[in-house]
Amino acid sequence: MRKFFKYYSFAIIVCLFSIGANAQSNIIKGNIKNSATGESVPAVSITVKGSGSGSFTDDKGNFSLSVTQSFPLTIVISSIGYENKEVIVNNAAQFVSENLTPASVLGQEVVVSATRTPSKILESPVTIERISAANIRNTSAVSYYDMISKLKGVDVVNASLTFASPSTRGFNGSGNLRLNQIVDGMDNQAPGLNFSVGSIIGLSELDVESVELLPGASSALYGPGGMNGALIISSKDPFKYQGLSFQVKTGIMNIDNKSRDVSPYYNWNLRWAKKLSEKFAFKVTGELVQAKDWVANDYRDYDRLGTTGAIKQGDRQTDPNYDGVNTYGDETTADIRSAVLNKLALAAPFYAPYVNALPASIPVSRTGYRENEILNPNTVNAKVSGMLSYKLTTRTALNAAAYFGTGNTVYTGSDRYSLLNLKIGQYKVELINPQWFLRAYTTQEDAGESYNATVTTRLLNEAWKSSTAADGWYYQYATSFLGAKVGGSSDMAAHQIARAYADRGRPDAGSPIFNNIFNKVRSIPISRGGGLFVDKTNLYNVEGQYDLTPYTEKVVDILVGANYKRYVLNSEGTLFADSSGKIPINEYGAYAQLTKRFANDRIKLIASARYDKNDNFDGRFTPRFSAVIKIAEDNNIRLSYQQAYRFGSTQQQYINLRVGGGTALIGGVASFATFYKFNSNPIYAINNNLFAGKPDAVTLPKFKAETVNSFEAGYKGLLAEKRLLVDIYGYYGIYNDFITRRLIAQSVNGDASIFTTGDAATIKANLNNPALATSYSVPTNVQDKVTTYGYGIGLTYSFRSNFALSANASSDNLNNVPDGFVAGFNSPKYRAGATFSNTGFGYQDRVGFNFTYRWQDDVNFQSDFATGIVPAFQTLDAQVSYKLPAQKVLLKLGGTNLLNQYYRNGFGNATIGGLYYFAIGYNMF
Amino acid sequence: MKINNLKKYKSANIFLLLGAVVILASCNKDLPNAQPIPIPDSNPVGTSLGMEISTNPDYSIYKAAATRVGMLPLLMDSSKVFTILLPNNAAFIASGIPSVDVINALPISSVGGIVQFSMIPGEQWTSDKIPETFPNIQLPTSITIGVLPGTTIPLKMSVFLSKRGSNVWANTIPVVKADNKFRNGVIHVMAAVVSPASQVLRDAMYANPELAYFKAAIARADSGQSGLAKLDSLLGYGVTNMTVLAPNNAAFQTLIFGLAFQGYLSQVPNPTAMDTAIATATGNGAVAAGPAFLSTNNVSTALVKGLMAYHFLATNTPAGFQPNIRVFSNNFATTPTLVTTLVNAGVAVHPGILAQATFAPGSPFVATLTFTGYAGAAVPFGSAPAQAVQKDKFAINGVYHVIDKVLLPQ
Repeated sequence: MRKFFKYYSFAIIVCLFSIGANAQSNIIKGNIKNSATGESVPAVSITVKGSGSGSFTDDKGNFSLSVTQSFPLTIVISSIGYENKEVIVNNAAQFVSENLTPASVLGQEVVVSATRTPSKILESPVTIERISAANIRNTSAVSYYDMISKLKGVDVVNASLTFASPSTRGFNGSGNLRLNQIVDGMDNQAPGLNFSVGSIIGLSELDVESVELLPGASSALYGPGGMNGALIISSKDPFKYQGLSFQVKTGIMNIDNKSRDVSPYYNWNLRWAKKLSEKFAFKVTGELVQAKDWVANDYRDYDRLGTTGAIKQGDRQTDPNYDGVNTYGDETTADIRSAVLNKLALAAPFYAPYVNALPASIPVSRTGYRENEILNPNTVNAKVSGMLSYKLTTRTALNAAAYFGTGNTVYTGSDRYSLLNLKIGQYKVELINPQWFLRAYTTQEDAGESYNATVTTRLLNEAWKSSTAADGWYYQYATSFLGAKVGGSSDMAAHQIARAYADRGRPDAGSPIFNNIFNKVRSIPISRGGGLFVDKTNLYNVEGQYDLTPYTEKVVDILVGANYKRYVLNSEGTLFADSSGKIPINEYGAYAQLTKRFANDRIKLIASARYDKNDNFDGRFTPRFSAVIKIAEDNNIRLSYQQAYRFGSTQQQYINLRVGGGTALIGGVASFATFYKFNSNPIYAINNNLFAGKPDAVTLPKFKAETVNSFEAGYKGLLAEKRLLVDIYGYYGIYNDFITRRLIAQSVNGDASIFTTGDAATIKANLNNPALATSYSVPTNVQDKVTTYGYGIGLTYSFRSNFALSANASSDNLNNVPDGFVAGFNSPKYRAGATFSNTGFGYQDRVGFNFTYRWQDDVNFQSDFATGIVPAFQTLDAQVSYKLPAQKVLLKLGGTNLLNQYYRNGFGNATIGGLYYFAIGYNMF
Repeated sequence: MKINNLKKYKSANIFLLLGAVVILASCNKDLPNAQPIPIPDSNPVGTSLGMEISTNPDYSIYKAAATRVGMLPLLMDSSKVFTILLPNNAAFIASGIPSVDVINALPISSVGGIVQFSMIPGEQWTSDKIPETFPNIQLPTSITIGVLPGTTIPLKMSVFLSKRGSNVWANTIPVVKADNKFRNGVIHVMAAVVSPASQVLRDAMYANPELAYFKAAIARADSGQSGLAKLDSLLGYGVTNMTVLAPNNAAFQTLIFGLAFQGYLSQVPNPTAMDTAIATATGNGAVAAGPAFLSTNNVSTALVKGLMAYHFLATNTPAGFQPNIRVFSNNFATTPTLVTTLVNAGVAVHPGILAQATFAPGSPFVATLTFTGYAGAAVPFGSAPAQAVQKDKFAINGVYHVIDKVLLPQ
C-alpha cells in the first residue's frame, strides 16, 4: 500500500509537469523591507488586487510576480505583523521597492481549525489557541511542541524528554486518547497506540507555520476522538516560505540529577524550500534531537492492585514485597507460605507448628532493577519530510508529501515502554483548492525494537533464576528464610538473609551477563515469552471536503466533507488479540456545516453535524451549534453546544496483554467475553465487597462509544485601544458512557470459594496468586453521567516597542465519578501562567527575550501504570536573543525550568529538570 | 521615545522583580524517597535478653552457662528474637546444679545443650500464643541435630509448649513466671532446667529393663515388615514424634499368663478344678518362658501387632492416622478422655484409649496418669485402668510412659 501511494503520486506529478502552456504574461519584480529595522521580509504575500494571482517574497525579501493583467495595476502587499500596503505598478519594468510598517498582531491572526474555513481568531465560534511561527522564534521552549503546555487551559504529561501528551479540560495521560492531532491534514496518531507520539513524527520546528488548539470537544468537525481537543499543526507552504534555514541548539541537562550525570542536548533543524517555477515548488526538512533522557526515579513502594494502587510505606530493605514505582522486575510476587513453606511443613511435620505460626501469607517480590539500569538512556529523534507541490491552476495545487520519524523515547502506558528504533511514516497525496480538497494518506507504524520495561525485567529475572522451579528463587528464598528464623532471626532480618541468599550471583545491571540476558529477552516477542512489543499497525485514510458557499451564499454557507478510515492492527499477538492474523477496523464518516449571518453580520450562527460508523460500534451522529455575537468591533461573544464522542481506541477494542502486576488488559469487543468464558465462569468486581468475602458478580454490558455534551460560552475582544486582548471562557461537559477500565476477578479453576473464604488479606493473596485467580482490566462504559466544568481567562497586553505581557489562569473540575471507576481525569483544579516578552527592541530591534512562568496545582494522577498524587509545581522558562539582520542570524540563549527544580507532571513519569541551551538560527521566518 | 523606553524598562524590571519574588518563594517538591518501614523491637523495652540475663542476680547460673558457651552476644542482638525457657538459680538448684562452679565443671557439651535447648528461635511464644489444645505445640530449640534432607534448613531438636488454664509448661517443666518481655524476646522462668534428650526412643526403651517384653513384642509385631512400617524403625527414626504407652514386664507377664491359661481352658469342654490347676500351671510355664514366649507360635503376629499398635498414640492427618504427637503427662485431660491410636489406622472408627491425668492438689505436676483399654471388662483379669509407673520418659523422637497393664483394643 505504501509503495502504491509512492508510485501513484510520483506518476501523477510526472504527468503534470508536461501540462504547461501559459497565457501571455509579464513579470513584476521587487523587494520588501521592514521599515523599522531595514531587514528584508520573507514570505510577504504579493497579490494583484481583484484577482487570484499572487506570489511571495523569498528569504531575501525579493519577489517576482507573473501577471496577465494589463498595466497599470494595483498590487497588495500583506504580511502578518505588518500593515497592509497597496502599490500601483505602471509597467513591468518598475522595480517595486517597499518598506512595511510593523503593526500589532494582537487579535489579528487568522485561524482555520475552528470552522475548517479561515476566520479571524477574534471571531472564532469556539475557544481556540494559536502558536505562530513568530511565537516559535521567540519562545524559550526547546521545542515548538513544548510551547503547547504554556497555553491557557492545557495540561501536558511528559513521559520522557521527547514524549509529551497534551490535553485540555481533563482526561490526560501519557498518551492522550481524547485529543486529535492533525498535521498537515493527516491524523498524526500512531495507529497501534491511538494517540500521537508527541512530535516524534511530524514537522521540523522550522517548518511549522502554525499550531492551533481547539480545547474541548471537536468531533463534529474532526471526527471521533476529539473529546478533549484537537491540535492542528500546519507546515509552511514551499511557495511562500523559501530558502535554506537551519537552527542548531546545543544545551546541557540533567544537572544535579540524582539519577543521571550532566549530559548534553542537541537539536539540529534544517529546512530548504525552493520555488522552481510559478507552478512547482518543493521542500525538504530534517530535525535531529539527541540527548540523555530524563529519568523516572520514583522508588517509593507501590501497593499494586490490578491496574490501580497507591504509594505505601516501605523500601527494599524493610518491605519483603517491595514494588518500587520505577523499579521493574519486582512486580513478580509470590506468597512463600503457600508456594513453599506450607509444602515444606507437610514434608517435615515437626516444623509445621512453627511454620503455621508464621503470618498466614508472606508475600515476597523478586528483586527489581531501577529504570536507569534498564532503559536505554539515549533519546534520539530523527525526522525528515519532503513535499512536492504543483499548481495545476492558480488556485489548485497537487501536493505529495512524506513524513518520516524514527528514534528512541520512553512512553508510559500500562507499563513503562522503551520505544526503541520506533519508525512512523506518513505519506499523502492531496489536491488542494481554497474551496475544496481531496486527500489520501497512510500512516505506517513499526514499533521497531520497542519493549515493555516491566515485562522484560521480570523475564530477565526469570531467565537468570526461575521463580517457580523446584530449586528456584522462591524455594531458595523460603528455605533460607526458615533457616534464618530457626537460627533466631527476626522476620525482617530473616527476609534480608533470604533475599541475599536467593539473589547471590544476581547479575549487576550493565554487566556482560546482564546485557546478554536482557538483550535476548527484549528481542523475543511478548507472545513468545519475551518483552518485545511488535506493532506494525497501519492506518489508511481518504477524505474530501467541498465548500458549497459560492453556490449557496445567498441563503447560507455550506461546507460538506466525508472520510473513510481503515486501521489494520498487526502486533503478531504481542499487544492485540491478533495472533491468528491482522485485524482490520473500518470507520467512515461525513459532515456538513451551515453558516448564516444575521443583523448586518453582527450575529453568525453555525450548525455542524457529523455521522460516523465504526465496525465495532453503532453509528454516531454528533451535532454542534455555535453562535458568534459581535457586541462591538473586535469584541465577540461566543456560545456553543457541541457533542463529541469517541469509539474505544484500537487497544480498548482489541488489546490482550498481561501487564506488570499480572493483570490481563483485554479489549471490549464481545469476543473477549466468550474467549475468557465470562458467561460460564463468573467474574466479580474487585472492590471492598470482594475483600469482605461477599463478591459482586458482574455481567459486562455491550461496549459503547463515549459521548460528551459540551456547553461553552466565551468572550474575546480587544480593549484599551486594541492593546489588551481578553479571552474568557467557561464550559460544562456531561460525559455519557464514559469509557474507563474496571477491574474484575475470575477464579482460574472456576472455584469462587477463593473469594468467599478467609479474611481480607487471604482474599487479596488469592487474588494476587496467578495459580488461583486472574484479574482482568476491561474497558467499560460508566453508566452514570460524569460531569466536568471549568473556566479560564487570558489577558495579553501589548506595550510599545514589541513588549508584551500576558497572563492566564484556568480551572478544570470533575464531578460524579462512581466508586470503583478509574476516571483518569488527571487535571489540576487550578493552573496559571504568565509571559513577559519582547520580539525586538533596542538598536534595530535586535534584542528579544521571553520569560514564561507556569504553575499548576497538585493532581491525583490515575493511570494503568501507577496512581498517586503529583504535587503542585512551577516552571520558569526564559530566553534572550540577539539578531544579526545582515547575516540573517538569530542567537538565542535560553533555558527551560530555569530554576532546575525537578518536577513530574505524571505519576511514575520522568523527573524533569532544567535544560539550558544556546541556539544559532539562520534565516528563521 | 527614549523616555518611553526607559519607563517600559522600569515596569519590566518591577514585573521581573515581582515574578522573581513569587517564584523563589516557592519550590517544586523533591520526589520523596521510599520510606523504610520502621522495624519495631519485639517489645518496647530498652533491655535486651542478654542484658537482662547479665544483670539479674537471680539468673547468675544461667548467665554463667550462656557465657561459657558464647551465647550472650546472640541474646543481645536486636536482629534476633528468642523465647527463653530460663531456669533461674532456684531451678538450677532444683535440677541438681547448685552453683556457677558446677556449671563450669560440667562438660561444655552439656552446658551448651542446656542453654541451646532453652532458646526457641525466631518468635516470641508469649503465653497467650501457646495453645490450650491437646496435646501441645512442637517448636524448634537452638540445638542443631542435622540438616533437613534436601534443603539448607537446619534441623533442630524440638521442645513442646503447652498451656492449661494459667499453667504453662515446656515439656513437663512448669513455667513459674511467664512473659517477661525484653527488647528482643521473652523469658519464661522455669521451675527446673528443661533438658534435651540424648537418645531416640528405641535406644532409651530397649535399655529400660522394665521393657524386655515390650522389646520382644515389637520384634514380633514387626516380623514380615520393612522400613518405616516397622515399629522398631519408627522408634529409631530421629524425626518422628511419638507417644508410646509401654507396658512393663509385669504387665506382659499378666497378659501371657492369661493367654496361656485361657488357651488351655478353651480346649476343655467342661473344665474341672483339675483343668483349672493345669491351666494355671500352663500359664506359669508360659510366663517362665520369658519374653521369648512372644516370638513363638503361642501367639499370632497379628495379635501382637494389633496390641502394639494400640500403644502408639496417633492422630488423623490427610495421610491417615499417624503417630505424630508427643503427649506429656501434663498434656492429658484431667477427666477420662479418649485418645486415638495406631489401631485407628486400620479401624478408623475405633474409640481409642481413655486417658486421664490427675494433678497433685494445687500443683502443676501430675500425680497419677491412667489409661483404660477399650475392651475394658471383657479383658480377663478385670477392667481396672493401667497406671503409668514411669511417666514422661523423654527421648529425641518422643516420649514414653511405662504402664502396668497391657491395654487391649478389643
